[in-house]
Amino acid sequence: MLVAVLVTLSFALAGVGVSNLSFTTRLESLEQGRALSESVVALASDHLRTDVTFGTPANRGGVLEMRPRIGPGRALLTFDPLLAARHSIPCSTNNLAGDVAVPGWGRSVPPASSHLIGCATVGGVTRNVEILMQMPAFPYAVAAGGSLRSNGDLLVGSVPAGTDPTTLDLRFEEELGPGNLLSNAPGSSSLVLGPNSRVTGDLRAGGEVLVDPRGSRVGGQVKQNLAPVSLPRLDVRSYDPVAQGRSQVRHLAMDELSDPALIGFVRRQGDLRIRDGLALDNGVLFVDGDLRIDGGAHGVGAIFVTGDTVLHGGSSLASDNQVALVSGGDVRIVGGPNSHFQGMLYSDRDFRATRVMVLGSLVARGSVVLNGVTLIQAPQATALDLVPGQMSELALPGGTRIPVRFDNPTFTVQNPLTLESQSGLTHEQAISRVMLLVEQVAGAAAVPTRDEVDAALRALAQAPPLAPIDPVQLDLSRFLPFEQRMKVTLWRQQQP
Amino acid sequence: MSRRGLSALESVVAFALLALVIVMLCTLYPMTGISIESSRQRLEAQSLADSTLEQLRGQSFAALGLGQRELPAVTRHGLEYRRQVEVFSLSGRDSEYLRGLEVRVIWSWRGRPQQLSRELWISTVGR
Repeated sequence: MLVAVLVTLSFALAGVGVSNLSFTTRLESLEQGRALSESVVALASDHLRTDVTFGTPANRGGVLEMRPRIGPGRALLTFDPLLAARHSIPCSTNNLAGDVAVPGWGRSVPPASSHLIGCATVGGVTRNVEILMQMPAFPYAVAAGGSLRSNGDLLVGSVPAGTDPTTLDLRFEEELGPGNLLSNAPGSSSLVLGPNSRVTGDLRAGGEVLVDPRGSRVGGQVKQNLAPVSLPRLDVRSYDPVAQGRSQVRHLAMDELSDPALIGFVRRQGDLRIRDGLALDNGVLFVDGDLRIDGGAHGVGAIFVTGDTVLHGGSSLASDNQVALVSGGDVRIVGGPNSHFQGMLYSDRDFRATRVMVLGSLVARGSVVLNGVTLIQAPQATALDLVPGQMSELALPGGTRIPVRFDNPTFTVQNPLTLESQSGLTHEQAISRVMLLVEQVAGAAAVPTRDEVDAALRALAQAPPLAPIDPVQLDLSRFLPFEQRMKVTLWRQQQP
Repeated sequence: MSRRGLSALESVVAFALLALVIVMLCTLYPMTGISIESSRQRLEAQSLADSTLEQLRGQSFAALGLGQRELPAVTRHGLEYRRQVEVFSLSGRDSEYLRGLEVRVIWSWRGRPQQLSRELWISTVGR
């Protein structure tokens, strides 16, 4: 009896020792597996940093492996479904360039996201670490390299991608998404908001933040005395169509235009003043000098100015307006009632806006001063992928060339001197317009006959379409370091 | 013929068995104790290694200079645990963006050196 008791006690003791050791070993393997899985995920994210196409169907990248320098175990990660099946591991997905969600391993991978799953095996224990990284659009409604000051009546918010601006109702501020303000300036007045300032997102400053409490509200966090954030730096001269070797660049001789509608590349050497508003019809205006626009800018296009830019007035909101204004000097916008600007605003120096609503993003490497401004960040406005319009030149007897575009079935005819365009013209109206323009440009003696213009227009309408030209691309987010753009939206570990 | 009591041989065998079991028990008991203590120390070392890794990960990437260094030792339950940290670059990758961290926890028990290491690669992306 005594022996039996003692034997049982012996086995119990041995069992306790073994199970304790087994538990410790398993726990160690689990923790080691987590570290290995995280490591291989870090390796994959570094591959994505250097090449955003890494892991896409065109560039699967094989199997990434991490083995510790000391100790057992390894972790694997792959974007290749076949290799994933061969190694019996989950398959990661790179949808950074995607516009729509795609199916991933056990979940849907949203657009502009990457789903990384590291799978580690240590001592017979398997551990997965899964992360979902998203590359959101440019995160700031206003970003200033210098100080940011609002003298009052400021509203900052955001709307989701694809929102029709014509349906925007600012009476319901609470429906706006977060819009963030950034000032990199150090010191005591880095970010100053006057009375009646409503910001739905965060305030981030390199120095101190001062908010006048009268009627003001900050929906997000106030982050002060933080390290500066890298801001996009756009080199205006790199967008010079001549320097880029673009064809079909119209050189503007006049220093003043009235109500022009610009199509394709237009370049002005020297200062330029535009009256009665600027319309951009997939147009790119490059001004090597200062630019002043009275009447606002609307349509779809880009404006590059090496000097200072002054924009007086604004346009009404339209669903298809998207203008990028990139200025190497100061930018000043003076609006009025119902003045709007849709698109991105960039200044290499200081920015000042008064009584205007900006639907887009604003970046100034200098200081920013706002007076009665509404800024609604719209993701689609932080990136411009513009295919510049093209005009054919109507070859007429006598050598006069008139820019014409066949929009099937109508025509657009442009004045080669003033760049004023008339679109939606019928065949007959186009003939008359061309004849009138030839008379204005080259004199009455050079005017071709109606039949000659008719024949030239028919030939143009039947000509093959012009070869597409390289787009003009501007993406504020692209100028931020990859690691600053990526946000981890999901981090999960699991033991399959 | 009826038997009364144990024979001398039976007594000897019984005592031998009992002695054997007692010897086993006497051996197992300290061995189990040693095993449990060893496990406890490894758990302690794991906890130290993981918390050290987390501390390092919490630092800015720039603050994690490449190279080896020794962190202050930690004493737990009368044992001193030394912590060595190595930040290293990874072959073929830019160390500005991806680095390896290795934490070694070293202690001595019963006159023998004990060691536990934990390795983690960290990237600037998504931190």
